Amino acid sequence: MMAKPNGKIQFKNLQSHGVLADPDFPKRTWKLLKTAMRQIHQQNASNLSFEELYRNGYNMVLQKHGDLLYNNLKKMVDKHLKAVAKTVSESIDEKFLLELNSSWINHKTSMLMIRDILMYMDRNYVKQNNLSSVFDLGLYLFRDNVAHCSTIKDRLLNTLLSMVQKEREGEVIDRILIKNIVQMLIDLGVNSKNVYIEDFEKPLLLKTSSHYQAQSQTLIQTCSCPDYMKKVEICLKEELERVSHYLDSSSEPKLKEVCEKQLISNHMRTLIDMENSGLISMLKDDKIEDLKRMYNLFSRVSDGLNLMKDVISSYVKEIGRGIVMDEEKTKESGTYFQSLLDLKDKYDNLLQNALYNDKQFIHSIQQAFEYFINLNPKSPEYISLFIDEKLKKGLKGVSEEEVDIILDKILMLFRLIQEKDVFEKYYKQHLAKRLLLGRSISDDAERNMIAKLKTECGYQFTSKLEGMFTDMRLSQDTMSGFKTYIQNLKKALPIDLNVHVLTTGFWPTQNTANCNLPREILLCCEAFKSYYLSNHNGRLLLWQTNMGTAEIKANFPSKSHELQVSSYQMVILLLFNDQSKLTFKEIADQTGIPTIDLKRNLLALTNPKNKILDRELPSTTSSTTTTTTTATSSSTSTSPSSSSSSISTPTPSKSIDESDVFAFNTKFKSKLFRVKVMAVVQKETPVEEKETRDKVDEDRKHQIEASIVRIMKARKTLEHSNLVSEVIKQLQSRFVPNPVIVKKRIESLIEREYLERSKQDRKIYNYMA
Amino acid sequence: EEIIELINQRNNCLNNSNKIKNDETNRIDYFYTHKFVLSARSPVFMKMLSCQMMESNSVIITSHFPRSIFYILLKFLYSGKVEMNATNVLEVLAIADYYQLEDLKDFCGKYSLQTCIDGELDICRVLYASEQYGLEKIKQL
Repeated sequence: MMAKPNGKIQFKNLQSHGVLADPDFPKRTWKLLKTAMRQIHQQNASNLSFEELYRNGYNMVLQKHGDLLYNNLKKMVDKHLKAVAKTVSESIDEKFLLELNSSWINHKTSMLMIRDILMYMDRNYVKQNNLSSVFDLGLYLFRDNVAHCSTIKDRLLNTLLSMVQKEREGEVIDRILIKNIVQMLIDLGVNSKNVYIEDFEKPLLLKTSSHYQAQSQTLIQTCSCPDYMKKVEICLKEELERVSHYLDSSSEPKLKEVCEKQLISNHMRTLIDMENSGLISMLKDDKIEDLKRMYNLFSRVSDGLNLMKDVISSYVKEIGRGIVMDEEKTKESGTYFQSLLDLKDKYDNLLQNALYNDKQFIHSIQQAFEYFINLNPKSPEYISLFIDEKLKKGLKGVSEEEVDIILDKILMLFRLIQEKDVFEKYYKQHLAKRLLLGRSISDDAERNMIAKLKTECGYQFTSKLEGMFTDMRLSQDTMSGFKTYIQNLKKALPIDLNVHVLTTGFWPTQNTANCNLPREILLCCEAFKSYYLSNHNGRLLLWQTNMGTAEIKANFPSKSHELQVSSYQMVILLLFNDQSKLTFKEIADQTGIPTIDLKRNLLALTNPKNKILDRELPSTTSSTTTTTTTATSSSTSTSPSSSSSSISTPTPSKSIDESDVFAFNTKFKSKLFRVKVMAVVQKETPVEEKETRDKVDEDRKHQIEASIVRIMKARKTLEHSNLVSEVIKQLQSRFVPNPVIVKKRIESLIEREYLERSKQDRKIYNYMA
Repeated sequence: EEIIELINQRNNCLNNSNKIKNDETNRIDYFYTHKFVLSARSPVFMKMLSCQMMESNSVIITSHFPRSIFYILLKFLYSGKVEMNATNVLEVLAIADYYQLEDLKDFCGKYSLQTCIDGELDICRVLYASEQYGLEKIKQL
């Protein structure tokens, strides 16, 4: 009869006869159940009555025959499974797994039925006696009798392993079958995965390990580094797929580890060092994809990235060192710096595209840059020179955003410089030149740079630089005031005078090597002086004649020209208004220009390109009239240091000799009306360089002392090493002080009784108010 | 309420479909019920009706319990209510145990204890039954 569609079922109610106290009852009942279970095992259960079997099982347990039932069941299943094991082990190779699988499936179905029939026993007898439930019992029995049967266990393992191996070699295998068998092993562990792990996973891992060990050996000998990595990627992907296809997910990390160890960890060094295709050559050739692949692979294993990082970092150091120490490149600040910037760009690009901006890598590459930039003591100067060049001419026709980008890049390198105070010195000098000679192209760009420095190093760092800008602005106001003042006096001056009033301390100070200015200029200067002092009482004006520029009109026999010269050159040229021929000594005496500067300027004037003066050849002519003079002034001056960059035209060997005689070159010819006499360009001489150094060192002394006093004032007492480390910390943003020097400063402060050594412990200092 | 009514209607059916076998003592009664109700309430019925044996293919399943007791069980399965007295409480307990209805077993246990206190039931019988059917709470008392 079929069940009716509405799901109703009929119920037949048989009157119970009550439970019989029959002595034969257990035996008889078990016999009945046993017959039924046989039928179940033969997959022939459809004619059995669940109700009847359940009732019998129920009555057995109710009448305390649970143990008999349980043990008999165990014996019966045991016997049955032994027969199953025999059939399975007798099956031929191809059918072996199939046979095992089908007997497993049958066993499972049978056990589920038996469990259902005996569910009352499971709930009561089994629970009370802490036995394994009927189904679990079935699993244990299957494990012991079938899966661990001596004729099956090893054969099963070998079959499975050889199938995996076949798949690794590219053959197609029955994944579903393996999956089922693997699932069987997992199930047989009951509540753990022990059976799966012991019987299959461990041997599989061993096998995998040896497989990839062998494979990686052959691969690494035949493939280049990128090829090897590509193959490894494929292998790893395949293994992961294997897990998802037929292994337990808990095996994934273990399998991965084994593969990664064999394929990556064991060969990292070889891969990195591989000639012509290893890490170094990837870096050289910008192989972004390969580097990315390497990063991905190496990030899987411990220490992989560290190794990669170290190699990259030392390579960068080496390359950077090459640039920094390269005599050729260091000669030209522009190319020197450009190559550093290019290097930086290259590695930034690398970090972003191949290394996922990994913090570790960013840090180590930065450290490498820091290392080699500071190797060359001239780096701070070169940075400043580079900026100087950019701001003078390098940024023409470039949009504001691009300027910003360039400046940011420069700043990135600047950040790595330890001796920021040295940079400041040079920057100040260069900025002064730009401002005074009007060389800067864009005021905005200048201010932008200052603002960036300010955010980078703080207010202190830029306050003087900003002061320079203020001076420039104030000077403009002063000059317009001066002009109205002159007009009001109704007394025209012979020349236009333009003065920049510079505050001492803000500007790189120069020694006031005063020269004897011509009369007409002196007149103007006096006029300005009296105007300025009337407005600003009590100030002292000093003329910085070495920083000025002038435009003079020169009437040559052929043509008249306008000459753009420095103040010194103007003074020299004006002498030739009165005399046509002068010896070096005469010039020196009449002008009072220091010998070194005089030589430089004469060199510029006798330069074959613009030969305004002739050496030794006597000649006459022409009058000159000064038009504009720019003189600079400041109120004090200490030690000089001047360096300038820009186009240096190498003069043909000849240097000015003190016995030389100079004359006005009447044959001077030029296509241009305005002739610019090349500025006196000279690299910082070693002496000057040393002076700058000394000055920086002197400054540092004061800064270290100030820092010590600040710290001690706050702490009152402090241990020596703590004090030193705090001082270093405080000054880090400007330079890195040498502990030995710090110690000297401390001693000096003790001598001057700012500090004293503690009486209990010589290593502790006390602050003396 | 609706469920109770349903059962009342079924009662008519039940009465109409009673059958008597030729053997005088083996009178057969038929109840019409729903598979899913039985399965949902009793694990034994659930297995019985889903297990690939005779019952899952058939529309008739049998029970050896007396008609009156089985009727109480059915009513309980459908409505969650149970009508008992001192005379049949232990029989209801037996059927509850057979079909593994733990809540009904607990209730029977409490009820039988109450009837003992009222003096309507022999305490020894109650104890024997609770021992047999594994009513731990009553045994402890």
